[in-house]
Amino acid sequence: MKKVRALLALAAAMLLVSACGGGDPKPAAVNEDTDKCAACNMQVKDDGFATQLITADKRVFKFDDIGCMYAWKTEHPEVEIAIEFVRDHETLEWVKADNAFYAYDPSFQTPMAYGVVSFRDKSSAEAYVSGHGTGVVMDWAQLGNHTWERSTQGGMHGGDGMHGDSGMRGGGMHGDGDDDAHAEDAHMEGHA
Amino acid sequence: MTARKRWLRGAAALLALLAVCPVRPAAAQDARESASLQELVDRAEAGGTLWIPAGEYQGPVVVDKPLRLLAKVGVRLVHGGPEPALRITAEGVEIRGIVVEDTERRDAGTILVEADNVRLAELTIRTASRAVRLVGADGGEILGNAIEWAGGNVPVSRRGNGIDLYGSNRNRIAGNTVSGMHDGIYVENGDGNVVENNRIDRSRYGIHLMYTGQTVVCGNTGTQNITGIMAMTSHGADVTGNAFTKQHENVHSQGILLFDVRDSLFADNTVEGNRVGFYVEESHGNRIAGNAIRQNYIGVQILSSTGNRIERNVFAGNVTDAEAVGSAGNEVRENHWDAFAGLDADGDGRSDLPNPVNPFFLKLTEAVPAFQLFFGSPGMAFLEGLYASGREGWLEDAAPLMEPPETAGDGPDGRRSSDAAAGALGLALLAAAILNIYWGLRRS
Repeated sequence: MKKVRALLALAAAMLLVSACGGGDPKPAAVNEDTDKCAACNMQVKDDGFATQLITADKRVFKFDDIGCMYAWKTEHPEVEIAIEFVRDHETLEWVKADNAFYAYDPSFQTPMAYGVVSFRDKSSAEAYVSGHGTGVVMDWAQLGNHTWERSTQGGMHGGDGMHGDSGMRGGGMHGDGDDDAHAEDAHMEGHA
Repeated sequence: MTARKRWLRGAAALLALLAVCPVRPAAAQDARESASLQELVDRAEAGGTLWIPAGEYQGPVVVDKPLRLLAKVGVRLVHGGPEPALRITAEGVEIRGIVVEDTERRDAGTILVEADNVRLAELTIRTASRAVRLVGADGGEILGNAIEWAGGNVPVSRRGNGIDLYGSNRNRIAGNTVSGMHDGIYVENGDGNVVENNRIDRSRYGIHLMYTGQTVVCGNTGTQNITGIMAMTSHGADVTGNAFTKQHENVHSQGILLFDVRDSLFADNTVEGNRVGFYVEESHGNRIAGNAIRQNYIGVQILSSTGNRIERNVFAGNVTDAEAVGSAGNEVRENHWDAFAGLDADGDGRSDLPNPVNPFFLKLTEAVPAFQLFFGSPGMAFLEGLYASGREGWLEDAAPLMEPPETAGDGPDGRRSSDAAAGALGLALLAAAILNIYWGLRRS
């Protein structure tokens, strides 16, 4: 009996040690009441556009738009970054930024109008692009060469003009859950 | 008596007859009430005026021709469903005096305007969505409407905007009250809009500008929003005479925030009792003048901003007047800082000692946010005193005013009319006292 206990204790200790030792830092949850974008100062919404990076000294910076994260990185070249996370636009799960795929078009509406939307895999990014009938799909390396521009001019994007800072998501609205839900989402959650 | 009775009866009959005359229109009205508002609109002639009979109507309604839709009292438009309660697609439409109640969350909003020169006035809008949305609509007027959230107890971040303009220019938004919405008034991608004399309470951002040019924001007031005025990536704005108080519930509350704002004027505003009065980041070429910045935790916070003129503001009763990082190269002078002990040897009303703004606390808390706990602590003041490196790169007021400038909060120049009135009153009292004493002496 004693032996079993000792073994159990040992196993637990090993688990603990191995957990401490490695692995990537875990993404932090978004708290809409307290999180603001480290670049643009706007509230970070707990939505598909939120991103975050964790520095080597374990500081977490959250952003309302992946373009803001790039702007921040450009302004803080001295900071050593341990990991970056983006959201899968459909499931809202956090994905390591270098494993994600990105859909871009100036007409895609994102909180700060950078027009880049993130996905867990290539096929969902491609589906988003084909759903909108416009845009390109990039991987992380290609995104590194992307010129980040905010689409501030050009008037009406998209067909229906539904765009903007609505905060109208979830909560059993119509238009959820159909095939085009992500496209709809983009319009509903755009430019915060 | 009988004669009089007869006379009365005759009068009653006459009255009844008179009453019968409007019976036909009244009957028609009854019929109309059972008719939908859409049918009334469809029947009305383009360019005409339609007085909506009192009653409750169901949405949705689309107005696709120029029409004035007016209501005195008791006209309610009740709606739920995927379409906006009211959609305006024709130029020159006016809607006035209706109560709109919308229970559905939807992106298109409760009232959607897609045409130019539309006027929405004196409406009461209770919504679970965005109240008013203008898309590609120029030259409209949104006047004296009352907007409030009716979508239940959800956080403001999940609510809809009060008045939401997208790609819309030269609209006038005046005298509205907005309560408990997401952003009270949101303007994106529009030029030359005027936002004046509105009141916004308990919303996320009171007035939110995004990618706008030449927006006029004046005379607006608000309390208890997360941020009073959020001006982002805008140029040529004229933000004057607004008062935003008690933005302090949220950890990121501020009175007025500027982010990436250029060549704009922020003058004669009052920011009082906020967490941060003015927050300025990456903004250049602006003039921030004559503002009353009172009783905030931090008066102004300036980050990475240059080429701004910051002058003749009054800082009073803030826990910390100013914090600044990376903001040398601003012209800062002639502000009044009540916590600053100046020295005016030559008697020109300006301190000969500058008032430097120590960046220590901001730099420290940027590296370790938890050190914000030491905000206002004596130890922090001591450490700040030790920290003086790179002072040439600090923001500093070159010539602080010894006394508050007359302009702050008062008329544009010097002397107040009340001074003369007070003087006259004093003289009158003195004369009365002398007369009293004189008479008193004579009597005795």
